[in-house]
This record gives sequence, structure tokens and C-alpha cells, in this order.
Amino acid sequence: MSDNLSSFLGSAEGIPKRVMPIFFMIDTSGSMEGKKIGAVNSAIEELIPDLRHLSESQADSEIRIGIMKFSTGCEWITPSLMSLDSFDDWEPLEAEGLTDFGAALLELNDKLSKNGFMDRGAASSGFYAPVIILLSDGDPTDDYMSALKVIQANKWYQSALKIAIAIGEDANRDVLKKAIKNVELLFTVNNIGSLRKIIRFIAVTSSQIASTSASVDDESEEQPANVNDVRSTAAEHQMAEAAKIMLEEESDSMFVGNEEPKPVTDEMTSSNNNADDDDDDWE
Amino acid sequence: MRYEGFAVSERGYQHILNNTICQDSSQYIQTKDCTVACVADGHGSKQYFRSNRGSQFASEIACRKVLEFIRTVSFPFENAESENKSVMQLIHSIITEWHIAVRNDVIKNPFTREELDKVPEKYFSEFDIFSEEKSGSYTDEERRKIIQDKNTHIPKTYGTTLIVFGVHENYAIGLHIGDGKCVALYKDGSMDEPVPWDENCHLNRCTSICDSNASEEFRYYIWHGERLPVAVFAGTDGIDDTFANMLHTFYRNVALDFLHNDFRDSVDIFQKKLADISKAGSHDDVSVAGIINISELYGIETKLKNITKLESVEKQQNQLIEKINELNFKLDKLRRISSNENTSEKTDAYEVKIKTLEKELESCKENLSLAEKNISNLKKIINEDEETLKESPVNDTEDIKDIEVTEITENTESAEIIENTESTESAETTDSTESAKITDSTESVEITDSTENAETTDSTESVETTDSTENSENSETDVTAEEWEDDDN
Repeated sequence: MSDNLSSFLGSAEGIPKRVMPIFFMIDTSGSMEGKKIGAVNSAIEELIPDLRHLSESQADSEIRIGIMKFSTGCEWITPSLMSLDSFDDWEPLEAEGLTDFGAALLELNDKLSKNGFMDRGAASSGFYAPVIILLSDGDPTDDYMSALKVIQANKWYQSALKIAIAIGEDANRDVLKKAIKNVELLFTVNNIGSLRKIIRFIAVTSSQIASTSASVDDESEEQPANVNDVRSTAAEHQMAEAAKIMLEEESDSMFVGNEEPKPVTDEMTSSNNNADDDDDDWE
Repeated sequence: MRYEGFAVSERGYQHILNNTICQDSSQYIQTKDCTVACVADGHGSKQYFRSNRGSQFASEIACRKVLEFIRTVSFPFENAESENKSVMQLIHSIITEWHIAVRNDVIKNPFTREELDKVPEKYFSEFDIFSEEKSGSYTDEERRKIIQDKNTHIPKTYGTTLIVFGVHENYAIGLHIGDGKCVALYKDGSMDEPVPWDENCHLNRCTSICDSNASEEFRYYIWHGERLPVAVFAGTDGIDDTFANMLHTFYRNVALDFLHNDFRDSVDIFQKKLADISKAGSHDDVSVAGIINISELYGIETKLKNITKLESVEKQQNQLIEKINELNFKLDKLRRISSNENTSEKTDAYEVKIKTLEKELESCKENLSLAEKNISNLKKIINEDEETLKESPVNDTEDIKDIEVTEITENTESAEIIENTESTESAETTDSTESAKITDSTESVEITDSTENAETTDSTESVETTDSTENSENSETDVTAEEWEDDDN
């Protein structure tokens, strides 16, 4: 028997790694200026090695990142979903302008499609359900409701693990709740240390969850074909609980204070590991 | 017999680890003049606890019903309306008989305590009547009447997807509900997925034969004339998730492996590879069924090999474009960072990085250019091959050129394009240009709507039927269906 299949399976292109897309939508409006945008910059810079470690440990998946900033209008920092190697040097984001959240949602909707970021061309791998992380400290200044209706019809958005981080007390939590639906995954942070920690924790943990629950996970809740956006798994609940505990430990210092940003330590990782010990779903 | 059939299933790697059952089923029927094959993927969430049986019933019933259909319904149909009516009758008959099989199974095998624990609380009373504990309280007839009269959620526990296809003389038909893919290979070497895709199937969501509107969720396609395929394959989502955009390449290689050896031996070898495929890929249950016209496949062997080579180079091209985009992204960023840097020490460090990346970018661009040349070269060869096929009978393959593609490396110094036009080994084929027999007979297929005591037994005489699920242990998959609550609306 000729063995074309064995040769194919043994080749690099035989069984491609599936892509685990992580989208960051970052509010870079004027109110983010100073410590807030500084903390976001630090967190993303520090996050990359963690994600690289995670990506390398998973034989059958590859993490790729898309980053969009929105203020007056919106703009992709990344021209497509980029490999983690593309982030060796992080160019700090700057903050100014309005909060055009609606424009950002429409742009995300555009890229959450085969004509956008969700197709890497012929002969490439498939995708896990994306992780979408929203960060905002204010109120939308454009018509976000109609944009929300549009994106909520997007199948990738429906299946995505959506998390929102409300930065400071002025952030409009109701808007973020509407955008993510699962209120458990809305986190409010009031200090720099919390913001840096939560971004790292959420990005790493959510990508672990998404890469298991959208493939074969016996504990994942089934998603009926004709019901919009009801994703909620035990693993997501565990993540939310662990994140809350982490935030409570960081609850004192506020953005208005003069505190220096606290360095992020291995605590984040250990907190994640503790959660793993509690429930196999985290694997 | 022109088409050989096969069907194979294997328990997913994740389910082996979890010691859970396989819910995939697959089956084929091959008679003197017809071949039918199908795959079914039972849903994985815990409340679909009998989906392994549901997928088995679906496979058995669908194969049998499609065989009846293609034997009795001639092509062409009078018009599109009559085609749609006939196919919808077939779909209804499959769904109806699947529900009858489910009811019979529930009567015969009452729910155990362990199974009842998986039933959502609000539906518990519907299931309790059919439990082992209540087995003495009702006769089988009483149970049968209850399950027939009441619109219960019991069939949901057996929910499954289904892809079935069959070929007879001058046409082939494919039916599909839920996810998985049905891929056809044609005489010109092209491949497609002609059964319309259901947009409701996305990641771990899909439609199901257990849905209340299942007949509307079925899609179908009829092949005929020049586009009668050389082969049709269907795989459950465990296969699709493993190969993603390489799915056609996978099936092309599967087809090629069926040449030059006994067909059944090739099926056995393929079956043994499924466990490794699941382990290296989706970890899900995997099933593949297919029908192949071996004699026609011989005629396009060289072309298929060249198309596979072309795809491999196209993939390299794709990766290089991606890499170039990333390098440009990094370079733009570094140039901006460097220009804003005040200290010369740091600026120098950035300059070194920039120079390294520029060199890498140059190398990638050279490789890309080489890949593009290789692609152009291969396309030329494939087109020449096509011209040869047009001019010569299918079995004349000795002049068809084969090509060796240049290996593309990160460093492209002195890379050359090598065109190897060695003639391929002569393939033994038969002439497949026999004229298709078209009859005007439009007698409709007999559809059984009877809901009484129907057993899902195979009534086709002297046919070769193989249920591949005997090879697979039972496990759990991740496919989902219409939410149980939907029936309440």
C-alpha cells in the first residue's frame, strides 16, 4: 500500500495547530492618561512571557493576539492576529480623545469574520472560540447600542469568552455588562496593582479555558444552536471567583493616590495554580 | 460495481483518558449497483446520555432509507419541485423512523437511576415513567402509548448529527444535519463541499436530528452528469477540527492510499490510524465514511499528487506572507520606538535589532518569491495534465508529468527550482466513459409513517453492511443541539 496519508500526517502541515485568539479592546481615551494607561502598558508587556510559556506548553494550539485601541475612533495596533513573537518590544499606548466604544465594537465585528482575522488563508489551522478582553474607564461617547446589536449577531462573538475590566469608579459598568452578558466576568479595579494583576490573570486563565471548552471538555455546558450568547461554564465561574479574591487583596490603594505601581510577582501564577488544584476544569 | 464503500469510527483520545464512551457511529451498505455510507456524531453533553445509541440508529436507518431511495427514484426529476418533494419525503422518513427506534429502545431499556440523575429537573417527570423503578407500574403497551401521545423530551437524550450519501447509476445524493463535513472529489481533481453549510453550526453548537424542526434543518445535494464524483467522504467534527483547512488534503491522501492495494486491507490500515489522528488533533471521537470509484481514481492519481504538492507550497507561501507581515509590524514598531529614544546606547541596541529583522525580512521575501515561482510551475504542470486528460482516455497517464518542488528554507542562498518531469508509473485503469442510463421513471419511494412497533432492522437482501461502531468503544463528544427548553415554546 502506498502511504500518502502517513507522509501527510507526519509532515509539518499534516495536523495544524489550532489558533487560540485573544482580542484586547483597550480604551485609550483622555481619562486613561497617566497611571491607568501606564498600568495597561506594563500589564501587556509582562503578560507576553506568560502567554508564550502557556502557548509552548500546549502541543496542539497556538496563542495569537489582536489588539485594538479606541478613543476618538478606533485603530488596530496589530494588522492581524499576531504571534507572541511579535510583541518582544511593546510600544506604549498613549491616551487622548473620546470613548468611541460603538466604533470599536463595529470594527471588532468586522474582523471577527472569515474576511477579517478569522481566516489565515488556505491550508491553515482552525480556531478555538476567541477570548475578548474589554478595558474601559468611562462612558461611551458614540452610539454603542446599535453597534452592540450588530456584534451580538456575530457567531464568533457569541461563542467568545468575553471579559470586561472596569477601570475606576467612573467606568460605566452597565455598558460593559451589556457587552459581555455574563456579569460574573465583569471586574472593577480601583488601583494600579489590581489592574496589572487582573489583566495578566484573566488573559492567561481565559485562554486556558477557551482552548479546552471549545474543543473536547466533558464538563462544558452545551450551547444550543439557536440561542444567543449564554456561555457560562464552571471553569469561567472558577476564574471569576479566583479573580475576585485576588482583587480583594488589592482593594486599598486608589488611582487618585500617589502610590507607585506595585510590581507583579509570581503571586498571579500561584493564584492560578491554586485554582487548578481546586478543580480539574481549569486544566 | 463502480463504487467501493467504507466506514470507520474510533473513540476520541480525550474520551479514552476520561474513560467515557464513543458516541460516533458510521456505516456503509454496498450492493451490486448501489453504495451508501454515513457518519453520525451523538451529542456529548451529559443530558444526551443515550446519544451513542441515537447515532447508531441514525446510521442504520439513514443508510437503509437512502438505499431504498436511490434504488427506486430515478434521475432526472420532473422539475425542482418534484425533486424537493421526493427528497423531503426521504428526510421525513429518516426522522420518523429514528423517533420510532428511540421509542422502542426506551420501552426495551428503561432509564437507570444513573441516567435519570442526568435529566434536568424540570423534565424529570417525563422520564420517570420510563425508569427501571417504575417498570412494574405500566405495561409495554401503556408506555408505548404514553411516549407516542406525549411530546416528551426523551428523544433529546439520543440526539445526533448525520451525514449520509449514496450513489446509483447516474446520480448521487447527500443529506446532512448538524456539523461534520461532506467532501466530494471530481474527475478534474477538484474537491468541494456541495451540501449547503448550516450557519447554526459553529464551534460546539450544532443542529440535530432530535430537534423539533429537524426536517427544516436537513440540507441536501444531488450530483449528476459530468459532476458525478470520483469519491465522496464524510467525517464527523473530530476530523474537521483536526484538519481544519487541510481537510481536502487529508481526504485526497486517504483516497490515494486506497489505490495499489486490496481495498479492504486499505480500510483496515486507515482504521488503525484514526486513534493517532484523534490524539494528535481534536481529541474527539473520529469517524470517516466514503464511497470511491477506484477505476476513475487511478486516472487522476498523478494529478492528485501534484495538487497535494501545490497545496503544500501554497501553505509555505501563506506562512511566509504571515511572517513578512509580522516582521514589518515589528520593524515599524522598533523604528518608532528607536526614533523616540533619547539615549544613544539604547538607540544602538534598537538599530542592531532592526538590522537583524531587516535581514530576516529580506530572506523571507526571497523565499516568498521562490514559493510563487514553484506555485506557478506546479499550476502549469497541473494544467498540462488537464489538457492531456482532455485529449486522451482516462487510462492514458504515461505522459503526465510529475514535479519535484524546491524545498524552501529560511536561508535561501543558491536555492533553485527543480522541475522533474519524470513520467509516473503507469496506472492501470478502466474506461469509465460508459453512457449513463437515464430513465423517466419517477415512481415515488414508499415512505413508512407508521409509528407502531417499527423495528430498525435491515431489510436489504444480500447486501454488504458494516457497522463500524463495533470497533469503537463508547465515549462522549462535545457536540450540542437545540436546547431542550425550545420545545416548550
